[in-house]
Amino acid sequence: MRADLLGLALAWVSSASAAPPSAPVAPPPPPPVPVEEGIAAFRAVASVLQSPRCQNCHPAGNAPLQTDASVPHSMGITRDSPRVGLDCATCHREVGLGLPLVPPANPQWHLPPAVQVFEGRTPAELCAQLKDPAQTGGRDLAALQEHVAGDPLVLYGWDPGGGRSVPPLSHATFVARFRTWVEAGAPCPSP
Amino acid sequence: MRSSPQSLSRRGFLAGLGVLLVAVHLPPAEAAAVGSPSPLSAFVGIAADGTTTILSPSSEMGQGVCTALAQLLAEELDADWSLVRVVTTEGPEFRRSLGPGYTMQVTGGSTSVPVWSEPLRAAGASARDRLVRAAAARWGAPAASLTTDAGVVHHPDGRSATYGELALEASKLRASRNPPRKPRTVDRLVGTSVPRNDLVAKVTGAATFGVDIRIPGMLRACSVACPVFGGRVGAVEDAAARAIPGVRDVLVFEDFVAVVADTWWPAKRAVEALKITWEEGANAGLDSAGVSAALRAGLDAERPFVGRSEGRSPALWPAEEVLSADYEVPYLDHAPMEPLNCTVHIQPDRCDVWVGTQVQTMVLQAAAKATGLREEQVFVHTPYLGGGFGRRGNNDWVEQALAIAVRLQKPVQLLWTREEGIRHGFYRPAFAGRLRARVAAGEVRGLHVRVAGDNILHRYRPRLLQGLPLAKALPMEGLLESSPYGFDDVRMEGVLVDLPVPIGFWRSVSHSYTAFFVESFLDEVAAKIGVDSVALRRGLIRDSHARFRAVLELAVEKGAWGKPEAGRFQGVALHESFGSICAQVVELSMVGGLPKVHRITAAVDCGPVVNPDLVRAQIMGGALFGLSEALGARLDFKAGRVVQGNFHDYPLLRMKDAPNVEVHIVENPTAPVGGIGEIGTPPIAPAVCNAIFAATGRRVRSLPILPALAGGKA
Amino acid sequence: MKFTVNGKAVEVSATPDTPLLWVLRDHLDLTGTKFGCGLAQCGACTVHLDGRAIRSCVTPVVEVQGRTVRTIEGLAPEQGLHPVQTAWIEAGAPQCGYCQSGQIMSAVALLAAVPDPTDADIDAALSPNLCRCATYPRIRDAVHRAAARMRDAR
Repeated sequence: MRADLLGLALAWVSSASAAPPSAPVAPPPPPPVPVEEGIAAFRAVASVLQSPRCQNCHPAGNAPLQTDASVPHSMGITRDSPRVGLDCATCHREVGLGLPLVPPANPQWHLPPAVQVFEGRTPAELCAQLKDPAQTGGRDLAALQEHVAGDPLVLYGWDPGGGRSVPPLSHATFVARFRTWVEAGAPCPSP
Repeated sequence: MRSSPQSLSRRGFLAGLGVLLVAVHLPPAEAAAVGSPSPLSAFVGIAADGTTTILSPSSEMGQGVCTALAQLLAEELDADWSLVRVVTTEGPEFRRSLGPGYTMQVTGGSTSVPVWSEPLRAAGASARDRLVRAAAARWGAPAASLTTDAGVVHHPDGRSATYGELALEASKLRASRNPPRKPRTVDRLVGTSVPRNDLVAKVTGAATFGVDIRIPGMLRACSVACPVFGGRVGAVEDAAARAIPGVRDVLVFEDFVAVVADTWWPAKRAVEALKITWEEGANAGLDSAGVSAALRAGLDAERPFVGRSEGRSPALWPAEEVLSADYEVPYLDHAPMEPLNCTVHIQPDRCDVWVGTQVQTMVLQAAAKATGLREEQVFVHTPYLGGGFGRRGNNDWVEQALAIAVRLQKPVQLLWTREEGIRHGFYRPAFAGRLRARVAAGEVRGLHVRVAGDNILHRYRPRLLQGLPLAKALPMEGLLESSPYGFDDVRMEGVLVDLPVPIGFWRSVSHSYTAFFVESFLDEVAAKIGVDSVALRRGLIRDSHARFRAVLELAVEKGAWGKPEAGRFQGVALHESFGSICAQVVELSMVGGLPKVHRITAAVDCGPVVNPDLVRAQIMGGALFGLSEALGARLDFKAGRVVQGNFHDYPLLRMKDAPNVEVHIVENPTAPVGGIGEIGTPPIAPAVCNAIFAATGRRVRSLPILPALAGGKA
Repeated sequence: MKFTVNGKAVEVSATPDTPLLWVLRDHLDLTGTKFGCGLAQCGACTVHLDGRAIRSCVTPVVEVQGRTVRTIEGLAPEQGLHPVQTAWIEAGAPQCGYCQSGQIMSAVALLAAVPDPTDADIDAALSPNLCRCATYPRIRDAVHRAAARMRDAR
């Protein structure tokens, strides 16, 4: 997301510099995004968060989920597995083979903290949760925008290989919807 | 340094200086008892350094047979156990030493120790006798005055000679007709838990399995057969496959295609890159629902084969006294951990085949046929088997490897993928069972069992097995005379349901489902009449089957029957297979609607025990092997194809679901020698299902358990 | 492709996407590491990469360039056995033995992380390693024995 913000800033700087020097006025505030549009955008965001590629690593229980059916990880894998010498990277390699049924690979492969649950939450709950830094690893909305835009594991969700499904929105649309939601003041759907 | 049971070549073995060979033949009675007469000419040789090489007629596939058989021979030989090495012998030698009734060398049916105990003891006694006489000749002393102790012959005056020192002289002596035998009371090896002789090799990676064979210049092959059984190759587009670096050739056969490469990975990738049009043939419509329907139709068939009938016909039972239930089990794969593989090296005057096989003779015959060589020119080497469980009693992949090698004229190792193994197995057949009991005045008066499914012997090659009298009764193993229970009326029936699915001998064969059917249904009956499961069985065991009582009581006592831990529930089952009796008490709890097995207590009577630790290991492994499939695995068919392909959808038991198995042995040294490799498997599925019933009131009548409970099919 | 196996520098000509398993088995003739499934479902191919357990059947050799691999053949000192191997023998754990290289390599990784594991720890660490002979109770026993041996040696 940093790149997007930088782009916006540069755009502003360039448009500002194009303005007549004799008339230094503050830029007009961006047109406010209507709340309804923000809520609609969040529902789209939620549909991504609860697609298998995202919620499999944000499970409600102690075990990650797997496959497009989002079933608990086989073999008894849990958050605790790395403690007993069983790292995610034991099977989820850095480059991997990119073949069907072979564990997806990514150098960053890991589980988020246990509070960051997407599985089984309503959109309203997800929304409240994203605005609570205690449940986002201390990330504010700007940091979350960076996360969804550029985190390697988030990006993996759109390039999972092995014939796995991808989220229902393209990554660019997802990021745009997320931004729309933030720009609308991060309104939440009613429960 | 590699170690393997075949690491000593036969010729090297024979050429060794100071070698003593002892020829033995199976007595005809023993041979007749297994339906396949004796397959060996020589069992033991001693080198000058004392190294005692024992030739095992059986393949080592984890059951510990190379240890147990060596114990038997070394016992009578009075060998120094630390000098004993074991080699699985080869087919041609077997064949030459056998009489005209010879059929095949086979490791299966839990027969190794029952069949070979006496011949191996006799071989040991004969060898010891020759060593003693060689010493007697050397010292000019009467043989009767000499004694032996752990590989050494002693003279009363204090002189001694090792077996190694005497071996060459001894080998020149003629064998005595009736060499003296040690009294059984002085056994020092048999009956003890000497450690398996393959442990070091198997914990260091040094053990050589078939897949580890390396021949100079050897190419690697990967193959794929038509996914529909009986289908053939139509068109093959192989440009993409041939473009993969390392690929040497694409070979098209009638019913499979193989890619040959310098190493295996490119061969495997190339197989995936092939575009093959299959001629799927007549079985393309096969699906699981059709199989199930055919089995159910079999239950209603008009003319069953009647294997046992006593008392009144069930047709005459008063309807109000009849309790009835239908059961079903699915096709299962053996899935040995070592994927199927075979290495073939054809030369102008000989063919060497290295393969983890349970049927060396079939390999031998197939190699002779494929190469045009005489059987004497074929050498079958048996490395360690990475699991067998019956799968390696077939020869299908060996025939593929031979065909590839004949075409290539280069040494080649064929290795199947796991998927090819699961989709082209010789499966435990699916079976349906209809069980009916006559219950009157709170007692079980009659039992009527009908099983319907395919018959392995109708499909097995060589086809001569089909003619055996046991062929018709095979699907009814466990229902006939071996069944411990007596009723006023008994009727045991089998119905052949011909299905186009390859089937074979899967650990415990028909016992794997007859035990599930009968031992589950008896529990239904017990619940119906309000009798404790153990009490019901106690009351039904026939006096002629008294050994079963001791086994049941031991399991009941050690498993604390009737006194489970809080929140846990018990189930029991009792079954005889392959001459041995096993009872199991299972204790489980239900977690989230699914069973969690905490404890398995087993009691076993296998007659004389060669190695108690091996017995405990086999009962433990057999029970957990049975638990594996009872819980979660099944094969489904869709559009003529096996749906499952690897361990993600053919789930085997994992450690987290494997409870400890406590094994208690009923001492019965005077009984006939029973088998042990398969005995632990039959009782576990019914014991677990009986415990689930105790916990939930739900009766699982169709395996596997987990889908049955989840889908409400129980 | 250059890397270190069991203390020795090796160079192989395999394509970068070749799984390490097949480089070990077919290029380097280190056959103690086994093929069982090809999908990281069974653990028979477990080796250590820079001291951490990995499944070599799903690890392309390009990932191990310049790194250090240890296989079952390199576990023991020149003479003798690793304490985990000794414990395995004591417990009589192997049957067919095919999975045991992978079981042992996984157990060594467990004991490095948790020197005195409970039954639950062992189950968690080793459940990804299949054993068709189902020697699991004896493997559990062997891991406890190994932990005791390694504790005594400290």
